[in-house]
Amino acid sequence: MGMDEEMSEFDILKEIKSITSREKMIRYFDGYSAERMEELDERKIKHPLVKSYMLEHIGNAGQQKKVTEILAKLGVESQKIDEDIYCLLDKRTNGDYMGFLEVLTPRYFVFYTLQPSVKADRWVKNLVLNSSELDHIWLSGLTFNVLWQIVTKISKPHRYVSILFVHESIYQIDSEIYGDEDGEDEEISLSLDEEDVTEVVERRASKFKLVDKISVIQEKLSKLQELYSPLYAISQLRFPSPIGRGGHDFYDYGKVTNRSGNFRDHRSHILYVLKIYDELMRLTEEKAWYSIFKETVTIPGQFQKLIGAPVIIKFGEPLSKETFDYWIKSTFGRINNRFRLWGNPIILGPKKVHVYGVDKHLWKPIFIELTDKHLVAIVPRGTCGNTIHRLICNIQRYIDPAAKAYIGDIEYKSMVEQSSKGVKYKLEY
Amino acid sequence: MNINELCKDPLFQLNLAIWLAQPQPLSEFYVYPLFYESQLNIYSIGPRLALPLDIRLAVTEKIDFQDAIRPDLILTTAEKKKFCILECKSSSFGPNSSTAEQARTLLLVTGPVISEVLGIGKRGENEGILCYFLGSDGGELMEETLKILEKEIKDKTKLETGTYGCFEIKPSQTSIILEYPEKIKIFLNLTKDSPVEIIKFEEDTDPRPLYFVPYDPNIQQTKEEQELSRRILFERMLGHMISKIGGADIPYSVTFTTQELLDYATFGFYEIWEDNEAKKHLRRLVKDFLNQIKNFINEPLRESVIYEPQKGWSFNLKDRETHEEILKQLQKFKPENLDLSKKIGPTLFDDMGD
Repeated sequence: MGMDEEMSEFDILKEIKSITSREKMIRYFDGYSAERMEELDERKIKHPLVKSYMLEHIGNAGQQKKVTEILAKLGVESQKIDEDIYCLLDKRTNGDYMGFLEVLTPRYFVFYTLQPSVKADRWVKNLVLNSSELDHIWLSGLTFNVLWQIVTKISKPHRYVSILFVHESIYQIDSEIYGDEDGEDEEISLSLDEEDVTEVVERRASKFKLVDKISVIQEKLSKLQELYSPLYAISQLRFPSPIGRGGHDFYDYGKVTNRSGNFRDHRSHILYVLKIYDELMRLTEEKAWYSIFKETVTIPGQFQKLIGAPVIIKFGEPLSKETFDYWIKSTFGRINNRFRLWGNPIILGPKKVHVYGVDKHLWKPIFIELTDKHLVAIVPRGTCGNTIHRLICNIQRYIDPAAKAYIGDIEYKSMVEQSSKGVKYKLEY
Repeated sequence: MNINELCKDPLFQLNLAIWLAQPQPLSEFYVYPLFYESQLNIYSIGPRLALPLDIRLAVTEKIDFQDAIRPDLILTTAEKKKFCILECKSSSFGPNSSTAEQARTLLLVTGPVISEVLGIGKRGENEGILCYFLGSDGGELMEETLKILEKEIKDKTKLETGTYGCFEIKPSQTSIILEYPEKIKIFLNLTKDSPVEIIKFEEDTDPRPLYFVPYDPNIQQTKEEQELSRRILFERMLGHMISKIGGADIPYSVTFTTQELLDYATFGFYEIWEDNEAKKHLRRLVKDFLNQIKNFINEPLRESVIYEPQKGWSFNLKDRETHEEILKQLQKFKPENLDLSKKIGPTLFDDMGD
């Protein structure tokens, strides 16, 4: 009997029904994490690990709704148990207790759950798919490379760390698998389940995990990345726990699995990464949003300024004509596509198109130039910075793991570095 | 693709000028950010400017000029001491042409009165330069015209004009080159000597960048350029409609006005265009476009789309099914299949403000 089947019998309802305050929730998850750690040591996991999902509300500032209202529309009831803590019940499935939601700011929240991975992943994925106001926190390979540097600074060199690299050149010609018109409506980062990659394909597909001492990886990784570009596409990284063995596995779509015996430490790692992300989002939006700024309000049309900066993603190597064509065709030739973009490509050359399109996850406009060498995007004000991070994540994962990104004249990587330096103690969360 | 013709297109020139002022990495530039590197910022796009009253009195009946002008772009140096008034033209013109009226006014505006015209200081506190963006080989003739006009102003009115010069946009085999005289480089403190390679492109490829301003009804374009501009305008309007309908809470009635669609699709420039025949034509174009969309939507869903003069176009999204189906159909609509050179005649509702 597999773990998940065993877990399905696990009655979470009974366990968490009695949790009626923040303190009780933290204590419960702490104790629960310690028990799982013991099971992990004995290699006999009896119950699912604690998983957290970092989520973002992507409404325009000033038009933000309460997350509880967004969830209610999706059929999920939020029962308040304490200030900013809610217990979530899925009314669509007989009121299943799904976990707890902590509202950190009106924009960011974390969902903590004890449900098995398969169920929790699917549940969160569906919430995001069915709401244009919710999205995952997107941590690109470029962001993970900066987080990895932080891991090397704050952890002892002998600690073990695990890094997962995922790159799949799905647009390298192998169209048979993706020939189905309606087969692409899955959220991309979650679509790389095992069953999806079992076909025999002749294109680059890298997915492997590296587990070693920090000192060893630190010495080798940058050299290896230069030799083999898929190693830039970090899609999962473990922050070793400073308290004991194990750590916290961060995934590119904002999931964090607690593989340590401590929940408080797990939560602090999430808060830290979210602060970096929040700062990165602020910088991105401040810089990239295009808008017309009117200096005089009394005389319409007077002194209009254009404010903003383009997003430029440069590929390490030019794409082949076949890959480029297939990328364009499968993205804009289908209503459901992996990049969740809509647009009618204006063909300007064999390997150049312009798309004045829409990010269909957020239903916001985005103007893009795609060539075999780069992607340039103009993001009008109001389009969430999240669009940019998701785009970078997807380019690294599906097009070019070694792609470099710039917001205006600033390299995205240095923007992430700047964001991580800017994280200071705040009373907010 | 006739790249020589493209370089002469004022809409391409305006978008190019905007791109030259956008922050970009020097090593991986999209359009070489010559203006941004030289710390020149966009001060204003398409502002309406008028000469001060005393200047107008001083020049009336002495020279032909315009009361108000709308240059394409104004750039300013970091400390806002110097201003560059930029005008995009498909070709040079002579001192007796009708465009010379505009040029005389621009030359006067870039003189010591620029501080007052822009409302930023006392007369003489700022310096101005009038620059023309032109296609290949128009610079010499244009320079000659401006010299004659400058002399005419000085001789007849004794007023001081600003300095002037021309940027020439030229294609080479695989790049677009910007050429300018030394006096422009010195005045604007440009970081590079002319010529500068500003766009690199591949064989058989249209070198144009993404357009910030997709359409301007007041400029002359070739049929080919006009069709492409119209298509971009339609794509952007359609994108706006899909965004707004896609993000709507159901049930809801989403309304679009011509003004809103045009403002959105032109990044807010529709508002600044003078209300002339060209602008009316544009409104007709939008109405026709929306009619085409309505006709594209299958029955019975078509009943959900209603036009009311004064109000605009409403999409009644009464339930999730209607919402999804309308979205699906809008996403399948292809502006490229429309007759993009279609002539649209006046209608009864031309002056109705929806």
